[in-house]
Amino acid sequence: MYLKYIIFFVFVIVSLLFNFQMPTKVIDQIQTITVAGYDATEEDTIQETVVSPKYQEEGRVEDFIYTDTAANIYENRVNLNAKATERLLNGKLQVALYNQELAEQGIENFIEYLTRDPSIGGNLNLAVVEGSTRELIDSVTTGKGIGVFFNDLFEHNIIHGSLPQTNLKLFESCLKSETCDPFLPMFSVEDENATLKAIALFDDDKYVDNLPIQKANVFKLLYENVSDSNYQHKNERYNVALENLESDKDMVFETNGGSGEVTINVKLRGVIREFTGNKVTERLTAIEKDVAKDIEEEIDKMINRFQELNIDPLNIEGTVKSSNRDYNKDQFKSAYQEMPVNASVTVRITGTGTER
Amino acid sequence: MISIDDKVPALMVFFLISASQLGVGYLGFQSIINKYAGNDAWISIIVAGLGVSVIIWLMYQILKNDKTGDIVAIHQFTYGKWLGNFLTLLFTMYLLLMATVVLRTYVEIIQVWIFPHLKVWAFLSLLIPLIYYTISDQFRTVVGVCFLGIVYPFFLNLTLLYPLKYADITNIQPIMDHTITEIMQSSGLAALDFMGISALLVFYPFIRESGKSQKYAHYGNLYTTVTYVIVCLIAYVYYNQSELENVIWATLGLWKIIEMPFMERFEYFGIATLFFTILPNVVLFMWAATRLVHRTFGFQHKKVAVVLLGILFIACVMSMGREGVNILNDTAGRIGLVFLFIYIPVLFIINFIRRKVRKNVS
Repeated sequence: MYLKYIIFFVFVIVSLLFNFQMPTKVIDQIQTITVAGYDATEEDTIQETVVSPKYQEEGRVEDFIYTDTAANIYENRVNLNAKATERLLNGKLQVALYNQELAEQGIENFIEYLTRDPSIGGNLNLAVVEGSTRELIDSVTTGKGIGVFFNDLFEHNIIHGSLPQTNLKLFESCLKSETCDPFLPMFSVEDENATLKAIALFDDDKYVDNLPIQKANVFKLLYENVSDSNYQHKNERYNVALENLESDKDMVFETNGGSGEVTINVKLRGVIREFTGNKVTERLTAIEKDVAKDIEEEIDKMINRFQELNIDPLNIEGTVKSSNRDYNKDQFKSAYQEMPVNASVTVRITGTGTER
Repeated sequence: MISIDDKVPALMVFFLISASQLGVGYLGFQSIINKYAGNDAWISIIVAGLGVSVIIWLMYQILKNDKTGDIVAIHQFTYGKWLGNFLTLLFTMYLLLMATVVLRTYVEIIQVWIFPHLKVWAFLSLLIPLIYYTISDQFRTVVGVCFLGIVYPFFLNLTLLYPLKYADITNIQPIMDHTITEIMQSSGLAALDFMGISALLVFYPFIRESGKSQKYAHYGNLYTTVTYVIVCLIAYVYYNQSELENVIWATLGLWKIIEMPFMERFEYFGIATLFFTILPNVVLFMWAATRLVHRTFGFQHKKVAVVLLGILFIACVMSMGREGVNILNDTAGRIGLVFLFIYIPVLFIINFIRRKVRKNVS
């Protein structure tokens, strides 16, 4: 009878003893990378810059920045580890930056390791940088750590600003999908400050063009249902700023004989926060019409540009594919650049603030 | 004869059936079943679920009409002693294979996601005493584990709501874009995730009023089917079809998007909880295998358990690497398909004829 218990104990103890020798990752003995930046170099190599915070006393964070060059990412890790006092690990990676030159060559190979690693989540932020990533990282002055700085910058611009939802998961989905082309936010250094400057548009995994951030709110209206955004309209009579914008987007595909056409319906609700004319309450319907017309024109321009570049960041092909059983990829591809895409915008102003 | 104390209420069949079906397949079946039917593959799960319900009905028809009511007696009655025992032995090996597949796949997941340096043999020697403890005595212990195997991981279903934030309904549209043939082909693959029900042929005599437990077996199967369909739909709106090609464990991948202030990666917690869905599988299959050997050859139950656990241990340690695990999964899947959808109906027919013939003779 006792034999049974002895054997049980031997099994458990042997197991614990042998698995006890597994390499450990003690939090005090590792450096977690929060930001990784990649630059193209002249040869067949890439330059990698990583930021790793060290927490000092009283909530102060000191960022260590390391840069080196190698043929691939994990080879570079060896070089960087040679400079770091403790082991560098990916677990806390928050932002991955790619410079424009590298993005033009294609970034799929440098995204791949992020999705393969089980310790990296889908919420990781990606961005393109105009100029060198090292310069951008160096330009950030913050007390909360560079990783947190970028993460917060992304977050408030996505939730309350004009940046559409973007992260590793969405980029990866779009890259792998056969129907849409991805996009990423784009940073640059302006007056020694890191600035969200544009939305970088990709053709497959190659950077082709960008959309200035001032136009991004229109792009966001087309890309997703907006819950808190803004729009500014200006004409010769008055300036108006709409805030607290909420929208519903609906993309419809109709085949009427020929190759069919796509209609994008956008319904907007918002509040006026700035108005340079007078008697705003009496002119609401006129303002609504002006703004709607303005947005429609912007949308037309934007989509024409996408069609010229032959890219599809709005996943129009996905809509066509999902609502049309006769969908044919080659046929769509040849028709896409000429395909009529109409926008129909309705604006409803729900408030004018505290003034009449 | 099995004493009434060893028997379990008919309701427990619900937990036994679902616990035996929900296993490692749950973690990654989405990227396997879409091979033929693409975005319509979730329909083939419903088809597979219905097919399995028919098989459960067939099993009950066979089992109800037998005095002892387990596969050993049925085999002996249908095929005679020698051939019957030989087939029982094959069935035992199949159960062992399934236990190996489940355990080894789970260990692989731990290796990939949590501990890359985990030593398989050392980890198994931690689990083997636990499995032995569960299967060596009464069947009620096994049922308890199966019950908890459904109750504990239930809350994991709620975490699957989180990825819906990134759901894109166009990924599964247009619905029914594939032919019936393609959906049927995919449901052949989906049936692999329902294989566990074969253990019913062994534990049937341990159920009180076993004849009336059939409805619970169907409910159990329904619960599994609904769970699979929901998980599949969530994965199909979250991933697009070309993305799924690269994903090995789609359900685990859904957790990649979850981020909590107090927990950076949810997977660690999830995988640990999933142990409670893995353990009932292993325990039930191992218990069934042990019971079969005990019934056929009359060896002592506990000694058989030790020997079979030794075989399980060696088989798990031997099947090395991703390739090895893949081969194991494929083999078990093919055998399971043949067993459920070809062998069981054949057994039903032969058994039926045999009964009629015997009745006429006497």
